[in-house]
Amino acid sequence: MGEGGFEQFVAARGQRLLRVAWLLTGDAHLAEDLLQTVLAKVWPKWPRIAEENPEAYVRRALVHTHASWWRRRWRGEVPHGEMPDRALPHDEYAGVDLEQALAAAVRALPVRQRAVVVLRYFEDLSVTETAQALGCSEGTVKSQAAKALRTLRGLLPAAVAVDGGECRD
Amino acid sequence: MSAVTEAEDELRVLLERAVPQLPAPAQRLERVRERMRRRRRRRTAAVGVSAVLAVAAVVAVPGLVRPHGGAAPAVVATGGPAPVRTTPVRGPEPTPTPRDGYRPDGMQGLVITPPAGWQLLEDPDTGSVFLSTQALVLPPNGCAHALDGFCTPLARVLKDGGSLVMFHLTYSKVQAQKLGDVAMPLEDEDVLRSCRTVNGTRQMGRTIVDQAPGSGNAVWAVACMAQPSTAQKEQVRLLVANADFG
Repeated sequence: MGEGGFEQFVAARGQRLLRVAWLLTGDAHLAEDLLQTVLAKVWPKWPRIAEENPEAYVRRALVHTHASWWRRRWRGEVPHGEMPDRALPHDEYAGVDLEQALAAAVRALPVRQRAVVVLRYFEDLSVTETAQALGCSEGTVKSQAAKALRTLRGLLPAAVAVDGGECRD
Repeated sequence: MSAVTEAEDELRVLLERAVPQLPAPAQRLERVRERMRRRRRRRTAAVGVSAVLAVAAVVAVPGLVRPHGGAAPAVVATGGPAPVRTTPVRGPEPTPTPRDGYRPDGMQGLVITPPAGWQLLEDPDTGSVFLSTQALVLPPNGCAHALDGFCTPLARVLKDGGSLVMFHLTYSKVQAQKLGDVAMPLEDEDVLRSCRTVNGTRQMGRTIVDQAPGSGNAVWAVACMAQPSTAQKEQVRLLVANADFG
């Protein structure tokens, strides 16, 4: 797969990868910046990457590049003192509020838990695959996932209700 | 189905619905191409700077180059009031490095195991320890304002196969409660400009966290390597991966 292959890959998978980047950064502009940074790194290596599993490679690169940004800036993100207003059921803007609530909740997660949430629950990787992608043990993935779930359930009760689910203890 | 599994499934559904379908910007590929061009230009410029630095180190500062690769004392003396130790690790002379680990001064109990024959330089002013395969010397203006936060106190730029590792102590009382989540595994990183200017071509980094409750201490470990072989990378990887608070 040559340069054309790379373009096809971006056309086919770019949208999904951008959503992964959004979930990591919680911001549309940062997400696009992250994705373009990673694509610029990946492109020169494309002939080699394309022979293996390019999507997994790019996904891993997204997580690691984001962690690297975060580490260098040492929590340079803008803190949000308050959660956005929550939507009432059947509110026509419920989707927007849910998105904002999720972005704020994701930003509240430590970077590693965020990566676990993205890989385990958005990309639906197994515990083993997530551990491999993050370079840590399966036990760490499980504990980080449990902590992230607790945090998100604390921050998103109304959002879950909007989504049709119920809060369970 | 357990409560945890149900919660996980709920989260999957929520994420799928709530993560927005963002529009792709026009000409995304063209922007990516431009980023690639900029990366290449920066690399080319860095190679030029490295060449100039190499020539400068050899020609313009003759006192810097010594037959046995030691540091130039005059330069060290201007580095600041704090004493700076440059220690050949496990060299022919006795060194303070025990075989099972070495605790540098002022690093809050960080234990490192320097490879045989490496040089070690402590800089208490910035809470940093440097290890290298080559001679180390603190720059005249110290390391407090280093480019990218990565000081590169090398007497000469890295030769092919050469390595420089920095352990830099950070303390964050505010983050003390969350430091357990700051720990990051050792991984390849983008090569910083500071690393490229000393001829570095590969970089690895890791954040080491003191797990003692309320400690708040963390160490950023960063390794800069010039055209390393697999064995050289492994040696650096072991040095960084095995460092820990004891």
